[in-house]
Amino acid sequence: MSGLKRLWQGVIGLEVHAQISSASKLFSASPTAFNMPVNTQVSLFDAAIPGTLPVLNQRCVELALRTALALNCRINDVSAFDRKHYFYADMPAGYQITQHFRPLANHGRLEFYWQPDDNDPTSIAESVADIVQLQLEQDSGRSLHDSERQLSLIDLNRAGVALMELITGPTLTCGAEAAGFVRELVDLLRCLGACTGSLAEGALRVDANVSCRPAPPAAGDSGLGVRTEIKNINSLAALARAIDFEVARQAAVLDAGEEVINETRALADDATGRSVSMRDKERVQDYRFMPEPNLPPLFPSDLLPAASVDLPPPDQLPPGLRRRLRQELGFSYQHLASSVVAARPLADWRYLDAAVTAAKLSRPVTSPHLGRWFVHCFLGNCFRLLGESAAAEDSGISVESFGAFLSLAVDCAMISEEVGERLLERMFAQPSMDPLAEVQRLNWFLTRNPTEVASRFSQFFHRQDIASKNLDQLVKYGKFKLRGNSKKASVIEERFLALFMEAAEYTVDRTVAAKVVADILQSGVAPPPS
Amino acid sequence: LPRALLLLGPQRPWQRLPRHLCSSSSSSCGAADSPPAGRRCRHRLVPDAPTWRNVADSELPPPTAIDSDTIALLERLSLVQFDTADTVRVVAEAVRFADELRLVHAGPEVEPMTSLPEAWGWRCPLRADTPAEQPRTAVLSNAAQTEEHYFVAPPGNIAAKDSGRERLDRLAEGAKSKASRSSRS
Repeated sequence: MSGLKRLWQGVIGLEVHAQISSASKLFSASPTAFNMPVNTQVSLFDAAIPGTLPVLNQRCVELALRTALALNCRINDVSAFDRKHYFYADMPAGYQITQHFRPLANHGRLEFYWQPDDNDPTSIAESVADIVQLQLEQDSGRSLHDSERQLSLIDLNRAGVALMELITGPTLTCGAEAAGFVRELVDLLRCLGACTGSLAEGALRVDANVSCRPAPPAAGDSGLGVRTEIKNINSLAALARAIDFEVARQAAVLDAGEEVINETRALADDATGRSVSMRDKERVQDYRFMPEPNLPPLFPSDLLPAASVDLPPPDQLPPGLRRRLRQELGFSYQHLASSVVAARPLADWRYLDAAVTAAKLSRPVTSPHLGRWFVHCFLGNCFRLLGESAAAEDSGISVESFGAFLSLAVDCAMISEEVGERLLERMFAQPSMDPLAEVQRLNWFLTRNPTEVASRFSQFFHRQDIASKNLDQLVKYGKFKLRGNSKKASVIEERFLALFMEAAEYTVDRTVAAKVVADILQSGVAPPPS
Repeated sequence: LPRALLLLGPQRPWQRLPRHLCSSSSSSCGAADSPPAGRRCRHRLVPDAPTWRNVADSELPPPTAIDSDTIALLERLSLVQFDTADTVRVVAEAVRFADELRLVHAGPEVEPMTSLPEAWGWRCPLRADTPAEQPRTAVLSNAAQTEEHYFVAPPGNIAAKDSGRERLDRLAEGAKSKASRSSRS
């Protein structure tokens, strides 16, 4: 992969179709509930029975405008609907009502974080995606294909449901970046209440347009290569793999001196990201876009007040919140990207903020552990002990107490991770407890002094049960050392280290203990307990 | 009706219709600019007499060639099969007739009108988001074949049986020769 990356760079744009969470469809009054009996949510208009006309759903426009505002889009003064013609059994009218010429909004942006290197948990990158266009359109029905009997069964429950189409510019470079963008977009849509964002349920559908260009780009050449479109993507992981597979495939084609064919491909294998060509390259699709004559133009400014009711300010929406958590509190990617970040009430983050101030940690916080302590441990305990809807304050642990805990635990300087977790559990059991006093009482501070650690280890080592159970291990260790087999020897050292740490209740520093264990074992003889 | 038009929405060129369209000479209109008795209404956009003009072939842009590829595309887009060269010739003549529209130059300041409501300044009517129950029987009643309340349709999009390039070439050639014969006559 790295050999190919030297020559070619992926250029990716995404088309996202998000099903708007309205109670009725975009142009008719049919309900939009999920998983209802076949064809029970179909009006005469949805079935394209003649003599019916579309009437626009106000809530759908409001939710689309809300999304456009959150994405910093330029809302157009006038917006109109158009017909996109093609024949398919799940689209009874023979055309789809969409917005091709005059969409709702243009030129938005979404900032997001992503992880360039899967293997390095500290790697994190920040990108900005351009939202070129945001428009409303109709969904089509669902078809089940029966190849045995050579027929299709059509369910029109979904036909006519409102979709919001977001088209990004070709600024993404790889699968991980695209997945990061979709993750942030899903969190934003859920926060706004515009879409449930479930890729698995089909509420959010993503198609990727992939092409390659030379890396680094030739000076003065801003042209884009031939692109292919990948459809049938059902999950974020599949999206990343499909894009990376396609970039590699196109790079191989271009390296061989051939040309990439402009085609539509379907994702065939989720695990490897392999896609297959869907349509014949000679087939040209002419959608014959024409303005929808049954719908007068829409003036979005009329609905902006309703759309911006209770719209959170930018730094409280998921992208802004994540930027603050990253820049001020030093969250690592793993905790930043967690859907917990977008799902928690804002009061939780104010709680954390206040606790960090109480702990007198200097900002920006450089320790990578803060995210883990709050998101994983604290909120995890909240969820487990107090239930799903509990907020941080419901734990009863005061801001000062949690601040005191953080000043002990955040850098793992005074107490180890395992001790910290246990301390937090105790604080949840007894919210009024002072963490510092508790640690002093139980003598849970980390020991770093090598001599002290050595004496504790030798005490541990001479315990009756340890010595008797591990005699064979010691014999093996001696043999490995004599033969010079250091890898197997270190395995045994680690085993003893693990036993020691557990016995010492994790109150010794791991690095120091590892060295002590190695020294003592190598010396062959453990000094008698003092 | 013309008075009502003038009350709604912004003025467009075609909205500046005369206040009275009556061709009678009576002065019952009472408008300030009523014409002298005996004369028809005068307005710069409404001519006195029909003004047909025959458009010469030379004024039009070059005719659109309907070759085999275009026939194949049209058949696929419309799901209508051209059966004889005559059909292709009729389509070519229809396209030629529509070519006259290319001579109309309205200028960039005139916005194309999509529908009358847009011209009248109507805004898109909006509906409250309240679902209404939909009886299944009505929607399925027209279907020739249903199965467990699904509509039954042919599988996917089957390509029309491709009768080959020879048929398309034959149609294109036949239409071209017929067209040249009719233009020469």
